[in-house]
Amino acid sequence: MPDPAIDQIDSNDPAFLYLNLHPEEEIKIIVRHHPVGFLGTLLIVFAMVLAPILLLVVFSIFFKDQASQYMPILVLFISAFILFVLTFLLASFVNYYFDIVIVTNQRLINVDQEGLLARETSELDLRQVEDVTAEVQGLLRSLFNYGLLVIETAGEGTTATLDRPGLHGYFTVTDIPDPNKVARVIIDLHRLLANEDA
Amino acid sequence: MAINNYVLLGYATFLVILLIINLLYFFQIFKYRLPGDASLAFLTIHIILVSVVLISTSLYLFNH
Repeated sequence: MPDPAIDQIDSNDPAFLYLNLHPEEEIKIIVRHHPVGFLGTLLIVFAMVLAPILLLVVFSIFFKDQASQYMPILVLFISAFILFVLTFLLASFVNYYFDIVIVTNQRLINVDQEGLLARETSELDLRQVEDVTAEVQGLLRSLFNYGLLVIETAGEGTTATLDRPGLHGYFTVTDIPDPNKVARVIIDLHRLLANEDA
Repeated sequence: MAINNYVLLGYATFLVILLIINLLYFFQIFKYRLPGDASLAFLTIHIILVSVVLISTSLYLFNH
């Protein structure tokens, strides 16, 4: 579900200053990637935390005599490793959670957090939208209703689907919750703008 | 193999590097967080977990 709800967003909030919204521009929906997309990272982190604990258990069973001698350095090593894993988790969370799609009444802004201090913001004028496709493929995506949103534009697009045939650009956003609903909102806003222009 | 000064120096250097990386991520979160999002809650849990690891390691090493 797009979150938060449409009427709960205060477009004048200082948090949105970096978007440089136009005076009459209103934020309609803010969409983050679906949490299920983060599950893979959580599983990796879980395995990484489990590994040194298993090492500690194996060491204390098979090297019982030398355990007291080597244990302090092993604890130091495991402590450093777990701190590294926690930092990795924080980095992954920032990369996942700060990828945001913001749909205003005039633009679609895709903020892509690419790593530490690397952030890419691409935007698309809703007037340029020609076609919006929502793709939900695979077991998990079908189960949790999230997927790909591909917006065909009159201008140049971004990301991986640029190699698709045709002269138009494609603006692609991955792992969007309820992509059909977001697609419908974008098409409605596009129609509204087209009616205003006519 | 006992913990000597070189091992502790290596650990301390590693902690300083991790601290700098963490601070850079804190900076990102505070700069780009949106009203009502979950980033501060996640950050709080992260700080608590890091503190638990650091304190328990210190206590263990102090007692051994």
